[in-house]
Formats: sequence, structure tokens, C-alpha cells
Amino acid sequence: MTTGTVAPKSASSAAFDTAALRERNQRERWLDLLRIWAIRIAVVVAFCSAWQFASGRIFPVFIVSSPTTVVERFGEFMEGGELLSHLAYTMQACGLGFAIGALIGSTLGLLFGIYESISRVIAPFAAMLYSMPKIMLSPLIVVWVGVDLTMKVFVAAFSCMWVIFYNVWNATRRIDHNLLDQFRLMGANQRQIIVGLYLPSATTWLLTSLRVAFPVALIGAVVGEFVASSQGLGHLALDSGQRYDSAGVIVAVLTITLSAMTIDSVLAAIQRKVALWQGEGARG
Amino acid sequence: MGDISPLDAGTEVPVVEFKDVTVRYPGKGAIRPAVVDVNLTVPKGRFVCVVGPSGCGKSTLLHVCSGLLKVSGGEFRYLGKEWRKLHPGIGYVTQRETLLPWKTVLGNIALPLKITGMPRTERHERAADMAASVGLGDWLNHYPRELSGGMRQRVQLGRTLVTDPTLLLMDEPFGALDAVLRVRMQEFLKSRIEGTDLTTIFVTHDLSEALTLGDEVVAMAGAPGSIDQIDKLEDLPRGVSPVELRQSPAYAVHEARLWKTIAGNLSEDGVALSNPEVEHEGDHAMTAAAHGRRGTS
Repeated sequence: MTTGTVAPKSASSAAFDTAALRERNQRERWLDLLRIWAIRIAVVVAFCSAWQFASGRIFPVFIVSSPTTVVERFGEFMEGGELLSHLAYTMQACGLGFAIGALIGSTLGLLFGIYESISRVIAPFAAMLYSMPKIMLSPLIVVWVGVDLTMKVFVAAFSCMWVIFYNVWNATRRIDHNLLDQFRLMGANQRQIIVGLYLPSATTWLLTSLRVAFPVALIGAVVGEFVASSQGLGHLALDSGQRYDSAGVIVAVLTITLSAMTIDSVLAAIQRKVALWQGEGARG
Repeated sequence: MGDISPLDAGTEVPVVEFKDVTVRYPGKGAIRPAVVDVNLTVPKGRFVCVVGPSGCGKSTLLHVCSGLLKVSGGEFRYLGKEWRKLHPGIGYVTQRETLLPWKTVLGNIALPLKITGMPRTERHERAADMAASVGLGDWLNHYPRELSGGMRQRVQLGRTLVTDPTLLLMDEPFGALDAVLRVRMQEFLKSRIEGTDLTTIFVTHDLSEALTLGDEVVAMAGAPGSIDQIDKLEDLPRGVSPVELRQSPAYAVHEARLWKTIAGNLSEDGVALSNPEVEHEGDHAMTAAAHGRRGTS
């Protein structure tokens, strides 16, 4: 074993090491991301190739269609603006329903959560409505409000509001009572407690529930279009299916899926932005 | 909140007065009281530490002092009178962190000022001054999750002191900190409070902490709890560091005396021994409740 003194590193050398290390980490992160995306693209290409190969050889074309037919149909739908018009109708129904459902759900969740006595009364009813497949009420909703856009908005709102209500209600009921006591001891009135404590505490749950609720609202809107409609992507899918046009159905489904994913990314970005104060990283 | 205090300098009215106080928590399981026959007077500017085993009702006393809990028997006076609502001028620091995670250090310290309706600029100035005085002047825009345990406790203390409270209640505020940080926080608290007329009631499990900080130590015992001993610490040297304080002969005498009291009231599990007299009362009340009659109170 040899012993010896180790020369201390100079400040500039240490700074260089840190910069080099940071650069190397950055490069590794990019490479890792590139690898993941390469694999994803390879999976899609492999799936589409297998699909294209099987179409007409293993399975009949009218059942499974094929990637090239789907692209062709997409082009046709886009040409006359038909697809965008259907997309706009569905998004209008879904967006309005989602906004109304979020407003009603979060307000009720907050109010019922704050007032314990109301919570105790409504708990079983809330559980019942949360568990109920709301879509099944669509025929009844047709009777109540007719078959126009209002019906789809109603179904979307009624479907998604319970998800939001339940999350906000639970978040509000589980408020940290030590924090509540602190607010009371500081002399806060009910409005200050709601705005300063309940609302921010429920924000995380609200944003999470919004992300869960949006696809539910979309399902509501599409089911509404299935029940009775001459517009919307639900109608387009149903109509294409009735004509054995599998490619048309797939175009409608892909369009709605990509739209939902885009909106989910926006909601996720908002969630990240608003909940900046969350996350790990405490100094111990 | 401090300006609410009617206690002017020179008045003889104690800040806190317990007279034969019994407290039962509201609810179904409230047949047994939490504390019984508590008698304690805390004059203005006094630093009182409350020690005792788990379950003897130390935190209950603080809840009564804050007005969050009302007494079931006896009389409790804050600033010379009984209050129907929460008591004004209270600063309450708990072991459990009560910072708002969505607010920065500045926002957390400014919160009580915001609640009182103080204009934004003024409250931010005062909060920034307070943050600087608790050693967090460079951390104003950091969130609680970015701070260490000791720093978070200093933010809590800053938020409590920024309103100039009349009575500071501290419920094991340093209980979650490691030994070194705890001593540092004790020194910090002493430096903040010494020379002021702030009245403090400080609950702790730690005898050395109580002897380091307090002007007197109240030892509680039993479950339900009552005050077993009040040890005045007038013979302890003041204005010295906690380490120096612990080397003084008087410190050892007080520590031995308090330890004897507390250890004599501990069960093998380390919790407070049942109070036999009140046990009997509780049993009687339970029997009465079972028979659908009103129990003793």
C-alpha cells in the first residue's frame, strides 16, 4: 500500500469538473430520451407494418381496414372540412359539459366538505351517484332536454361532475385541523378560511380530478352523440360503422384520442405550474 | 393581535389563571376528563414550561389557553376574564408543522397580518423584517419544502411573533428536531424572548429543555392529569448558554427533583399512571351513562 499526499484541486479545476459533469448528465438525458422515442417509433412502425400485412391476407379489409386506407380516409374527411366540423361539435359539447361539471362538482364538493353536518347526511347518496353508470341516464336526459347540443352537454357535465365532486369533497373533509386552528387563532373569518385554506388545499385534488374527469366528459359527449345526433365524432364513428367503413371509425377514434391527449397535456402543464410548491426536495 | 391586549404594564392581572379546572373533550368518548383540578397562575412576562408523561393533559392546557377548548368545570381566565370565543393575542406553535406549503417564507410569515387586513406593502415589510430577525432574510421566496426542519420551525416562530402576541403557546415545537438543532433553537428562542414581556407556556417532554428555557417548570402527572409540582427556577443562572446552564449545581438539583416526580408517575409503558380518584369518577359516569342517566361531571 502506498501513501502520499493528494494535491488540492484548484477552484477553477473544481468548477470545470462541475460544468463537465453537468454537460455529461445533460447529454446522457438526451440520449436516453432519444432511445425511448426511437423504441416508441419502432413499435408504431412494427404495429402498422403487421397491420398492413395482415389486412386482406389474414383478416378481411372491411373488418380491420389498413393503415393506408385509414390515411386515405383521413385525407377525404379533411378535404371537405368534415372531420374538423365533427371534431368542433364534439369538443364544444365536451368542453361546455366539462366546464359546467367542474364548476358544479368543485363548488358542491367544497361546500359539502366544509360543512360536516351536510357531509354526514349526503355521504351515502354521494357514494350511490358516484358508483352509478351515469351514461345509462342518457335516454332519460333525451326526454328532459331533447336531442340537440344541450343533451350532449348535459350528459358530459353529469358524467364528469361526480368525479370532481368526490375528489374535492374528500380533500376538503380531510383538511389539516391544525392548519384550520391556526387560521381561527389568527382571527380569520369563514371567507378567509375558505379562500386562504380550503381552496388552495383542494387545488391538487381538483387538478388531478380534472385530468380524470375530462375523458369522462368526452365519453359522455360521444355517448350523447351515439344516442341521437347528426354531428360530432361519435356520430361519424357510428355512421361509418353502420356503413362497414372501418377506416372511418378508426379515423374518428384516433382524432378524438389525439384531441383528448392534447387537452390532457395542457391540464398536466397547468397542474405542474399551479402546484409548484409541491414535490420532493425538503432539506431534512 | 397584540394591540387587543388590555394588559397594560404595571397591572396585576395574570395573563392566564386556572382555578380548579377540569376539562373533558366533547364527544361520545368524553366520560373521562383529560385534566382535573388544575390550578395555575401565569403572570405577564413569565416563561412557564410544562412537563409530564404522555397522556397527562399537557396539550389540553394549551388548548384551553388558546380558547380552542372550553373548560368543563372550574374557572379559566385569560387576561382577567372568561371568554366565549377564541382568545385574542394568542400565538400557537405546534410540533406538527402548520406552514402553508403553497406560500413562500414571506407569504407564510405575512399571513396573520393579511388576515388582519394590513395593506400588502406594509405587511410584506414587516414580514421581511421578521424573517430577517429569525435568520431567514435570504430565504423569503423559498417554499417550506425547500427548507430544513429547523428553518421551517423558525418560519413558524416568525409567523407567530410577527403579530406581537400577548401569550405564546408552544407545544413541543422542537420535538422533531435532532439534538444539536434543538439546542440551537432553544438558544434562538431565548434570544428572541428574553427582555420582552411576552408570556410563554411551553410544553415539552424534555426536562433539560424545560430547565433551560423556563422561569418555572410545571410537572403534571396522572391520567387524567393534574399538576403535581411547580418548580421555580429562580436560583438558576440566567444569561448563559444552555451548555453552561447545564453545568451549574442548581440545575442538577432541579433536574433530580423533577425527574423523581415524573418518574414516580410513569407506568412501565412510559405513559401517565391512571389517577385512581378520577378513575372511580369515570367508572361511575360510565355506569350512569350505561343506565341512561346523567353521569357525574
